[in-house]
Amino acid sequence: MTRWAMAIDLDRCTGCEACVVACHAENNIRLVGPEEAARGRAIHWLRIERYYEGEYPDVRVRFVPVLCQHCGAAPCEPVCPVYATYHTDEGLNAMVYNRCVGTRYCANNCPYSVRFFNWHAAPWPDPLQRQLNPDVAARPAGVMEKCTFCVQRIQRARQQAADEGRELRDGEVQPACAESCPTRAIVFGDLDDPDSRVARLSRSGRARRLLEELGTHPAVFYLARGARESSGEP
Amino acid sequence: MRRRRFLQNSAAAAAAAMLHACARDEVAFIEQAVARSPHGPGESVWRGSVCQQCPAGCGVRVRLVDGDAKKLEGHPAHPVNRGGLCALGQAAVQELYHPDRLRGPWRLSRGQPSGAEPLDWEVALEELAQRLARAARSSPQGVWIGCGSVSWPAQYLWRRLAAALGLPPPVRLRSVEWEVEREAARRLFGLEDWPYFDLERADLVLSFGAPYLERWRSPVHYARALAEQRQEPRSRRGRSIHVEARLSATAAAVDRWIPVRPGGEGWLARAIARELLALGRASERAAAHYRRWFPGPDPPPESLATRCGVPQEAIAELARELAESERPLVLAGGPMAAQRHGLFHVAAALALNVLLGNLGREGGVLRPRRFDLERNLPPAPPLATLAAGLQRLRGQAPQAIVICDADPVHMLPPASGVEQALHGASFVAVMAQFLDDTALLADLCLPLHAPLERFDIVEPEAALHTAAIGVGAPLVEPLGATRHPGDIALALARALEVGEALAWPSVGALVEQVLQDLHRRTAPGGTGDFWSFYEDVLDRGGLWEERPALDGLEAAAPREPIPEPKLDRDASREPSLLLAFETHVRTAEGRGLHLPWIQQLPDLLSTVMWDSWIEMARADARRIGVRTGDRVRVSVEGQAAFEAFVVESPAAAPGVLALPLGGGQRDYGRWARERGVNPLRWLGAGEVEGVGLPAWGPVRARVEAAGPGRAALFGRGLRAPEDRPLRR
Repeated sequence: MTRWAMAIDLDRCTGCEACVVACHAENNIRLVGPEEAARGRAIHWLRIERYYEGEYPDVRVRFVPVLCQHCGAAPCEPVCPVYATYHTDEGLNAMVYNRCVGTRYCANNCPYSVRFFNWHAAPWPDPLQRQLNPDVAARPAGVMEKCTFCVQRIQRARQQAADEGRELRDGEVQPACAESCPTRAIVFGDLDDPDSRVARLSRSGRARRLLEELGTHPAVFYLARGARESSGEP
Repeated sequence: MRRRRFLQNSAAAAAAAMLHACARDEVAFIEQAVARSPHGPGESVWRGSVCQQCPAGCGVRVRLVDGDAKKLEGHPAHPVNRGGLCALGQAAVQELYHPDRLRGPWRLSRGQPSGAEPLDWEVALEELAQRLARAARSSPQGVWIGCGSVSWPAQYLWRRLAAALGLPPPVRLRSVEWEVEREAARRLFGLEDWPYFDLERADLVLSFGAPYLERWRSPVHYARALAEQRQEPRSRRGRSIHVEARLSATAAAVDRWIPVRPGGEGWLARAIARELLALGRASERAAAHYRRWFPGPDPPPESLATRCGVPQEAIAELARELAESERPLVLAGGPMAAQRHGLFHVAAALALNVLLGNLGREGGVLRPRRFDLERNLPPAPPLATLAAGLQRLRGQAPQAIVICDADPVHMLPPASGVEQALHGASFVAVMAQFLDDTALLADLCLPLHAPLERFDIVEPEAALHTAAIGVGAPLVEPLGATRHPGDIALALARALEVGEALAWPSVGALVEQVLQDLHRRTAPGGTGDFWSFYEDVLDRGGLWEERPALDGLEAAAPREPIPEPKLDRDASREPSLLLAFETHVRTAEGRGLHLPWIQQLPDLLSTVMWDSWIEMARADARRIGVRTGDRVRVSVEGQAAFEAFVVESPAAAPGVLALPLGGGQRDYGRWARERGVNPLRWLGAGEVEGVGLPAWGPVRARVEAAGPGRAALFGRGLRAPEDRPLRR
């Protein structure tokens, strides 16, 4: 069985936010103007959290790209009254947009603040709509949304592999964020394949998970800054 | 074989056969082949191209569905970006389909909303041709052409046209700091180009102000190089240190940030040099060169420490680290280069490479490699430098000004005199994709193709140790009646009866000729089928050498000393210092801020979206009674200047205000119009010594509360125990 997971190497991440725009371009995330953004309604499925440590002149900054952690025990799932958010057999925390009735309980229960509500219908002034990705549904007003691990890319790669009569190869599925990343800090793959890069990185001594103590079993591993281990890391 | 795949293969085979047979109309055929994709409705087609959002020249792959561009990805094999693509590059597709793109020529009336009138291309070109002919007849020096396009055919054809008409060469329109960095490279390394900094193989990187992870030469290339420098299998992890007055995104991402006093960068470099010389790290020849670049007596260490704001012990430690490092590398540039003493700051820092003996060595400073695209073409004089161009602008008011693909009004300080000259000229024509600050002052506005709509060649400014070009072909139908700036030059040449000097029927034909020449030079033995090569280059989106080379580089014989700043006492009564900075998406050029994906991208450090902001120390904010999100009023040198949101930062130096570059466009489309502040309007201060360009840099300022505001911040944050699991 496949279990999708991601590893993000914080020693490679420079916080350039290419992944943020790539995510917008791939997933038809709606434009939110300045007024709505000032009301806290901006939508970014992936964001770069920034943490300062210390005060001038002894300051350090840490960047943490935060997206849906596709938790194995996702707090957002049991609170949905209409089963719009559920767990797939492959470990994805998935959304059925046309089931969602917009209670926002899921966003309330997510400790990572990665779920977003569409307060309005998406404006795509002509001809901007020509850029929209035909593989991804544009969400209507009143619906929650969040990172899907680019499930459409998983499906496309799987279809391609099936057409060619073979299994999916490690590294063949690349979410938009991973593909755009200039430093190759984001690695995606099957955690159940012990030889996959993501599985090997998840076993690194640098690997941590975000708010792991909450028992959410996130599928995203973060590799702390500093020298990589001499063995084990791909 | 499935039926659809069979049909696709048949169509592709037929296309290939036609391509060989079709010797004369191959360009048109390629366009048709792209437009009439053999793929079925809704199916993705991937084509190669080149990003033109900045001059770095990244290779891209474009996803096309039903004739529309849907997504750009970095080309995995391209030596500039190796598969990555930055935020601006990702957003290029939004520029292509921007609702406010200019879709036809316009007659404008110098910023007045009334009187604008759409024109046919024939009318517009005839008017431009007549104006140029008249101005050239009366006084060739009265025609001023500026070119900011990263397109090589645009530059070449406009240079050719100017020469054919007997006009002065077009002026290279780039930002001040870009020109200053280039001047430093010329003086120190004798290069008329950028050196390549082999960051990936250096074991200690010391950067002075160069925002190499944000913009600079190529953030994608250098970010990847930094990641590899840290993690390539080696005995020890590479280290990186950044020197800057403000904690920038680059300073935040490297291993150590050394804050300096604004304007103290060059003095820190001089102090390190003094230590290196004392440690005997430099060769005699290198030391002699250094003494000729900086002939003045070394200020005493305590004085140097005061000037740069870094303790003596820290300077000595830094020098020791460099001296003990096997492959040290020093970079310099960015906004500090645009200061009055910018040449001093950049040259003093880059000269450390000479003392460290890393020129032409692995992990050091290398000579860049380029394909000579013009070797077998009719000659064209090079672009004039910005300094020479501005000098001419000040000397004689031009009758006619033509600006190609640049916004000098926005990206140069008012002291450049460009805006004044535009107002004074009797005729102004601007080629642009959008109605930017410069186009607003035009009489005639000619709309340009977006990069994905045209043939093009881009020489990467990243200046690699691998020769490379990006090649683009039309992948989508033009959105409107737009043209390539090179095609405009060709049409003008025909209208002005100098067509024999520019004999190509189109830019596509010029691109083809250059590729034919490159095919002869780069294909093994000059053999092989050209059309296969041509198709392959278009499909990959470029041509590059597969293996980097280690071309030697030596210090240039010093001809004149680098001008050192004189210590002048600051007599201003204003309590704060205001400086401007670049971010990943905010530069002096302001490119990208017309795109909603870029406007709504939270700034990495402040998380602000959709606006400019003033970054200041918490204690300073408390003193004037403001908090993050409130508005403040800023006055510069006693003059009321602008209002902006405040963002308190624990990393801001007390008494220092920082404002991002790029904002404050007067138009530039609905998402940029009058949004934010352009710091260059307020930060101009004299000339860059030794370069002759208008300087901009830190100025004294005063800030006061202007009431509550509502900034768009994206500070979501984690709800429970922060990032504790990630701390080590």
